Amino acid sequence: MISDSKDHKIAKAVQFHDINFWIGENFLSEKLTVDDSSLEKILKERKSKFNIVGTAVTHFISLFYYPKVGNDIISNLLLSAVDKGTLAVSGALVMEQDYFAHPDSFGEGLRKRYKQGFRLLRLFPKSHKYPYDSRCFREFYEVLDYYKFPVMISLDEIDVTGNKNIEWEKILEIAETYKNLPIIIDGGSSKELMYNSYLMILLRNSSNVYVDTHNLFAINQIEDLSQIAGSDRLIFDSYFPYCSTILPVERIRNSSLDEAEIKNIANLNIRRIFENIKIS
Amino acid sequence: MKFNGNKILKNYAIIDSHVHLGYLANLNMPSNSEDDIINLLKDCGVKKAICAHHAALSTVEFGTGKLFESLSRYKGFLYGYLVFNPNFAEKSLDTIRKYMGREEIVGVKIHPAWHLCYPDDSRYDKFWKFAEEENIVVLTHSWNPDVPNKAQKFSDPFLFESVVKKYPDLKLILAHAGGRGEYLYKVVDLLKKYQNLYVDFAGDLFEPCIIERYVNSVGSERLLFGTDMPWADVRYHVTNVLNSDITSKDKKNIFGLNASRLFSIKAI
Repeated sequence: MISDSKDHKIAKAVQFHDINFWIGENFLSEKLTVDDSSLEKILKERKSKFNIVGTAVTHFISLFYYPKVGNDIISNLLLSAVDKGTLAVSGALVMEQDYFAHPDSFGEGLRKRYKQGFRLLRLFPKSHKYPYDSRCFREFYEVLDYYKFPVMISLDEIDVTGNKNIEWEKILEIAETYKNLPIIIDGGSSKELMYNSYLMILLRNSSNVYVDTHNLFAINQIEDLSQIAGSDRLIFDSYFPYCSTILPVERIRNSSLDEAEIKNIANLNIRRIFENIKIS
Repeated sequence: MKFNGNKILKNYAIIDSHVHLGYLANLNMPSNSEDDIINLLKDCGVKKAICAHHAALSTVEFGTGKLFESLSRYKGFLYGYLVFNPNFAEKSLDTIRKYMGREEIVGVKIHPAWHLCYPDDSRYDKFWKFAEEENIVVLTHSWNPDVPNKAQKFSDPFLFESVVKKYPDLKLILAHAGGRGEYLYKVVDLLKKYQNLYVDFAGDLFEPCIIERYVNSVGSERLLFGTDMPWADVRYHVTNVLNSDITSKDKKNIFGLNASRLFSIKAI
C-alpha cells in the first residue's frame, strides 16, 4: 500500500463492495482468465489487501458462451465454494435466453435466482442480441421494477454501432418509465465516460440511474459527478481482472470527497440497493 | 486535495512528460482549467511537467501562443512540446526552428491520428530529418488501429518502424505504448529492436502488470512517467507506478530520472 499517513489510515478503514468482478475462462485472453476454484482465495486476498468486503461475481461463460450455464456455475460456487458469511459474495445474473421465450416465467426465475444468491441482473443486449429499450423489454422491466431488482448495463453493450453512438435517451426513458428500477451504468472498456456531458445530463434528469466508477478516469471526474449528481449515484467497482484492483480502490481513497461521500460510493449505495430488493 | 501517498512520494522526483493544457470542444470536464490541472499534479508529488497544449495541436500560430502563455504562467514547473502539424509542414517547421532553443521547450509532439497523416507520409520527411539532426526529442501519439476510432490507424505504432530505421539517431517516445489491447504487449518488441525508442503509459491503460512486463523485457531506462492529464487523472498513474512490482531504482527511473536525462531538465 502507498502510505501510512493519518489520512490514509482513515481511508484504509473504508469498506468496499465490488459489483463488477469476473471469473472463469476468458476465451480471448489467458491473461484475463481466472480459475473458478481460486474464487474464495482471491476474495479473501482482496478483503485483506483492499478491504473489499462484498462482491457481486459474474462468470465469463455467461457472456461468451451461454448465460444459463454461467449463472449455474455461479450458483454452485455460491452454494459450495465460498464462505458467504465472511465475504458477502453474491451473484450477478446474466439475462437468460429462456426468459425471452417465456417472459411470463421471468418473475419466477428471478425469485429462484435471488434465493440462490443473485442480487443484480446484467444486460448484454449487443453481445446477446436483444433489445433493451423501455417498450420491447417492458415485460422484464415491469418485474424488475416491482421487485426493485437492480439492472446493470455496460456502455460497450449499448454502443450499438461500435462507433461511440450511445443511445443515452433510451436509458433516460427506461429510468423515467420504471422509477423503482435501479439502473447501474457500467463503463466497461468504453472511453465515453471520460469526456462527455451526456452522463451529467442523464444523472441530473433521473433519480434511479447510477454509474460505476472504475473508468471515471478523467481529472476529478468522480468529485465532479458527486457534486453534480450526489455521491449517492456513484458505485464502486473494480472491473477485475481487466483492471488492477488497487487503482480504482486507491482512486476512491485518494478522492477529495468527505468521508461520508467516500463511504457512499465505496459500499453504502450498493448495500442500500440490495437491501431494498423486495423479494422475500 | 491531499494525496495519501505523499510521504512515500517524497522519495521520488517525478516528471510528468505527457500533460495537456487548454480546453477542447469535445472535452467536457468541469475541472480542466489550467490551475486545476497544475494544482492536482503538484498535490500528487509531480515536480515538473511537460505539456503539449491542446490549442497547439489544433492550430499552429494561435496554439503556440497559448503554449507560451501557459509556460510563462507556470515558469519553473512547466516545460513544453512544440507541435509539428504535417498539414502545415513549412509553417510548423519554421515555428520549431524559431523556438526550439528556448530553455522551456524540450521537444516536439506529433499526433498522426489528430492530423490524419501517416508518419511515413512525405509531409513528415523534413521534420524527421530536422529532428534527428538537431537531436530533438519527439513525442508521438501511438495507438492500436483496431478500435472504433478509425483515425487511430494513422498512429499505428508499427508505422514508426520505417521512420526509426531511416533516422537511427532520432529519439522517439511512443506515447501510450501503442494503446489498448494486444498492441500494449506488442510494442515492447519495437523497444527491443530500436534503442532510441521510449514509451509512456499515459492515458487509460491500466491492465495489470504492464509496467512489470516492460521492465522485465527491456529494463526501466526507456519508460517514462506520463499521465495524459486531464484525460486521465494523475492519481491513477502515481498509484500504478508506486504499487508495481519493480525495484525502487526502476521506480525512480520511471518517475523522473529517465525524463531528466532525456530532456536535460532537473526534476527538483
